[in-house]
Amino acid sequence: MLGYIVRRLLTGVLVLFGVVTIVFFSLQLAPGDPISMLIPAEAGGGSSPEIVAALKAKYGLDKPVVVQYVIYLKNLAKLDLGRSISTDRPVGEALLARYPATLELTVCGLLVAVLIALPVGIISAVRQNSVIDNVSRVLALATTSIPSFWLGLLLMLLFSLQLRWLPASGRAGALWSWDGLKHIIMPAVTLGAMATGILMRLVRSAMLEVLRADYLNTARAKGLRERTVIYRHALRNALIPVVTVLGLQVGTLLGGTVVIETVFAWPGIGRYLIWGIMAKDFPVVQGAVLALTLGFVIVNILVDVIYCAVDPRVTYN
Amino acid sequence: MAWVRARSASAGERRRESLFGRALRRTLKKSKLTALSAILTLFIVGVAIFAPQIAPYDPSVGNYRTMLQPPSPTHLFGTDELGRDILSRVVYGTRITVTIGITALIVGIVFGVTIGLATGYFGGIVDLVGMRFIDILLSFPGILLAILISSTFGGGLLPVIIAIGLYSVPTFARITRGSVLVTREKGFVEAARAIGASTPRILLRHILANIQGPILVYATLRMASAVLTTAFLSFLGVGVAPPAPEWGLMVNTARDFMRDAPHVILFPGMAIFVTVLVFNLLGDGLRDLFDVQQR
Repeated sequence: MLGYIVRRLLTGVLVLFGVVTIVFFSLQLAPGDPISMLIPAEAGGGSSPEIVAALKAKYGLDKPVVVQYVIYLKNLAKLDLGRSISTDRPVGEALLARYPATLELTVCGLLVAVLIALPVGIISAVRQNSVIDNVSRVLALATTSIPSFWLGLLLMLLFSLQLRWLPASGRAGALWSWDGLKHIIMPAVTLGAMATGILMRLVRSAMLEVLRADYLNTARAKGLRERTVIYRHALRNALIPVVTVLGLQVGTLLGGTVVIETVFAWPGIGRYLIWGIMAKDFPVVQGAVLALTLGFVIVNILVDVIYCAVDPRVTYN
Repeated sequence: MAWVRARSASAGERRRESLFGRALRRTLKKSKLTALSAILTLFIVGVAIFAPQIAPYDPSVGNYRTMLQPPSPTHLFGTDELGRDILSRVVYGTRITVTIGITALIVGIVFGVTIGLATGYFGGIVDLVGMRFIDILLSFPGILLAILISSTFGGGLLPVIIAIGLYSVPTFARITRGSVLVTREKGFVEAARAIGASTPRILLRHILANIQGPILVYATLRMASAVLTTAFLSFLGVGVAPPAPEWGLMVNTARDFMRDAPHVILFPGMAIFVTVLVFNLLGDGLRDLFDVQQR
């Protein structure tokens, strides 16, 4: 098992190396450079060639691309993500300050998705072709098809601007405080909706498959209550594929935070990334993409490792 | 002799077509929802083609005297913050969305299917290198890759097409590879090899021809995803540039006015929602028809 974890970690490092390389070189292809964004042409005297050259030298942008890449990798090995060209502050520090907000949003979004998808998916499968089943299938299709930014704006329109029940944007205090909770409800529901449909359909189909299995007839035949049959025997087996997809959905949600954080002015890494893109702040974009991908890679490794706990048939060999 | 062969080949093709046609008709009859989504897909494509004839106003011409007007008989979807007719912009937006969706799909299919065919058929080092590349692309949280590519190449239609196309490559590569792994072991591929058919001929005429079903199904489902991603990118400001009547962009530029005029975000958002819903429904229906599972 330890060998497997080490192997997965090594693969994760390789993947991150690939991501860093792709991001680094694709940013070099981008038109315009960060320094020209920092000193617009209208600034007159400020844009003198000497100042531009000095700034380029300061951020290492005057060196050949390959040299810049090697320097970036060396610094990365020392966990130094460089300094933001726009603010001149360390990117690592800014990411650490924003990571809790993104993590909080992703976890709450996932929680919303699971809390809706699991019970609805189970009921939908147990009462196949009933009204509840049909309603849940429509709901699953709708949540898969609705653009999350539009859903967020509609919620904002209703609950913030019309009813004035919830704050429209921002993050306030700890999650367990009333104010903090009120601020995260809409972003979490909007983000969670992105994964709800897929999870709901998966729980339903996994349950339907398991419900036809012989061992459920055996469980019923030995006189177990229907509730026990469904929750102890069927659900535990149906959860195996759900866990895998849950891991993949974390990736969707981490990517989704970019949109949701923009809609609700949530001070996380996604919003920082969009800000970095607009300012052509390469270190910020590199750092933010790396941070979000790192989260995704870690979750996938965790899912693979805990898979064995859920399904004893899976071995690490 | 050649004439007899040609004749029997064309009869075989007709038979295959009619079998496929019959299966399609049967499914459409069985699933009215799939039939409805197929009709709505044609409607969406029709709106895109005939946008200039359908749109009541010029989508780019504003009128400061008719700013932010609610829906009325003169402007069925109301007007936006610059007094432009929202219905006309939504109609023209269909053109942008369908163009990006279809072109991006072609990019995704061409690259994805090529990688999938090569990795699945040749195996070995080709498979190892190709699939590791796909794994790296898949390790990006989906939309991040699209944001990165689109912002790298600057705003405009082409960067968005490349972004969404490349974003679809891993999906098509994996579907194709999975299907090739199964198909290459089939008897007819062995037979083609035995009579000395060249590798490109086996790949294109025998294997690709037999895995069109799964590719078609995922193309439909990816179309839904392409529409959503196009809207996401434009909403975030890294997609189609203003003043193009792209739906996501329309929602983004109008959201500052939604308190007083909710219709400005309602209709473009509804257009995205309905279009994605239609492609998802069609994709689901086709998946049932071909009984496709991702490998």
